[in-house]
Amino acid sequence: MKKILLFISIATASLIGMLWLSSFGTVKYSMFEVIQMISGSLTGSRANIYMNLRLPRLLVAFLIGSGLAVGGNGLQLTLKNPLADPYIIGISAGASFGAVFSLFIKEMSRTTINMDMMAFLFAVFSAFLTYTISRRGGRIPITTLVLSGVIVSSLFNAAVTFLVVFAWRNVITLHFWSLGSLSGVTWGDVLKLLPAILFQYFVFTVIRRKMLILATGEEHAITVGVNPERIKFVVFFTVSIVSAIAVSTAGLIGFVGLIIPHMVRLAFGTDNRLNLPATALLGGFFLIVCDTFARTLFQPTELPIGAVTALVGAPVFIYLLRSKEVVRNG
Amino acid sequence: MDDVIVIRDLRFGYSREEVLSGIDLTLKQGEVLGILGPNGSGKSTLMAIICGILKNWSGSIEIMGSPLNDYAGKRLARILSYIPQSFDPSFDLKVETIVSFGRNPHLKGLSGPGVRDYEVIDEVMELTEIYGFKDRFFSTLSGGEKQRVVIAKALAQEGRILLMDEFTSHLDPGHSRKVGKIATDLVRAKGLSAMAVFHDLNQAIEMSDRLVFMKEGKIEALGEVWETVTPDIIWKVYGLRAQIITNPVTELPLVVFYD
Repeated sequence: MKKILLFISIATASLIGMLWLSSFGTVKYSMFEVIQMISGSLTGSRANIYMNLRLPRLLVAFLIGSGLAVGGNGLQLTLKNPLADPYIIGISAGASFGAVFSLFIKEMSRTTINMDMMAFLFAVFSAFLTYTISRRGGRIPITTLVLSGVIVSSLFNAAVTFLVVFAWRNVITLHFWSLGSLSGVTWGDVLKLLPAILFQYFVFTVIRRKMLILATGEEHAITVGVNPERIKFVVFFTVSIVSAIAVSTAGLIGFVGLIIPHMVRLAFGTDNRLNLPATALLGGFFLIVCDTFARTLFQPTELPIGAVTALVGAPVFIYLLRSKEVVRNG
Repeated sequence: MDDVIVIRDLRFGYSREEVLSGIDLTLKQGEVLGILGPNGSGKSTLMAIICGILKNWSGSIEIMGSPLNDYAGKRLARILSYIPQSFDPSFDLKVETIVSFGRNPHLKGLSGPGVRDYEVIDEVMELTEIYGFKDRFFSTLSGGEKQRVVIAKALAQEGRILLMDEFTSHLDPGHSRKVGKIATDLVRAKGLSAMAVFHDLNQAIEMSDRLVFMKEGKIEALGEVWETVTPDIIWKVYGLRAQIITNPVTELPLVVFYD
């Protein structure tokens, strides 16, 4: 019961927080205006900016943050590893390579390949690559997973650099792909992200029990009738879809999938029913907070959002690396 | 239907090294079959093959009259429960959650546990005396409490056969006896059959109906307790000199080592 109250207060605080944060920026609004604009009773050019720039950006930040956090949660359970997240294990870098590759082909040969599709293909590829490299006799030790993720990420990041410099002869666009940005997102991006995020959330709700069983060990999973390979495949596949769309929309954003699931585990417990909803909610809210800093800290210049999440995420990663959870699984 | 598991000429190896070379073994209905042997003799491999963890073995294994390969994951898990040496979840879970995992083979598709499942979960938690701390986190329990949780989970599967792999060897003598007794008493009370790997000879003698001695992937002796436990076999299997005396309390053999 206490957990439900905690969840409700977090949800309320996040909702108010989101609206409040959306009022900051190069154009500043009052809370009263924000509520009027969302309810539709205030129109005009100021409202236009809010409804077509600020609000879609707010929603995209929420959806991406939520998707990455839920994805990280799923990867951690299925890999039995509290440090797994789409960024750490190289899925995001693979997706970013796929996205850049589709732009590259377009630039070179004037044929169009769907960017999300390419991002997805390479996301899946890098997921299985990291997994294969790090697997040691049926287990995925923390250190080898992190190391293989680093290697796979740097491989794809290097490939992205090559493609970008080769095709466009400059490194400016690299910033977007390596550190991410939410500037210029539209309602179209919201509509593209929404089904993917909902799909992942639905899949993870449905297989949550099996994911928890898998988190207690693959051999144990087999003895209670769960097929570990099948669950891992479903999780990799789903996380790759979300990462691909997130990356082709906003570039590389790291650490969300690492910090949020950990905080939620501490607050709610791994096997609590509210674990997944809380992860989705806090992941979304966290990225909105980071994006607000990115937009406003040095305005009118924007900070890449990946730099903000890394600034928060890296210390949490270090803390986790030294925590009991990791020592136990080393 | 007197034999619940029948194994004929079972062979298994990793690349070139053969771990099991021709095992013939039966588990009879209602008995506790104790498996003994030094490290590396293939005891745990045998267990892992029977419960479906290891594949690529050759020979024949029949469980309740049907070949092992005919059982799909969930169907096998409804018959067989496995209690490993240690159970170490990567994330902290509540005791009741872990016990509820044992119900997985009985759940249809993706639906969650129902009323009957929770009845079973409560019952096995009572039997293993863990009901009092069902809401505690697994990591906060002592070694003996942890193994009782794992036994409860295995019982929640409601299988007819229990496989136990040195499931008390991490415990101190007091807890080892208590946990071992809980398990074997439940096997007898519920009319189950069990195969149990033991590290401690005298504990094996006390808890088993029949014993198997293994060495280097082969069976060296198999039979009733008094027939199998001899100074010869202990010398052959463990390389230790021992005398067998009668335990004054249980009137079972008591192995005393003297070198």
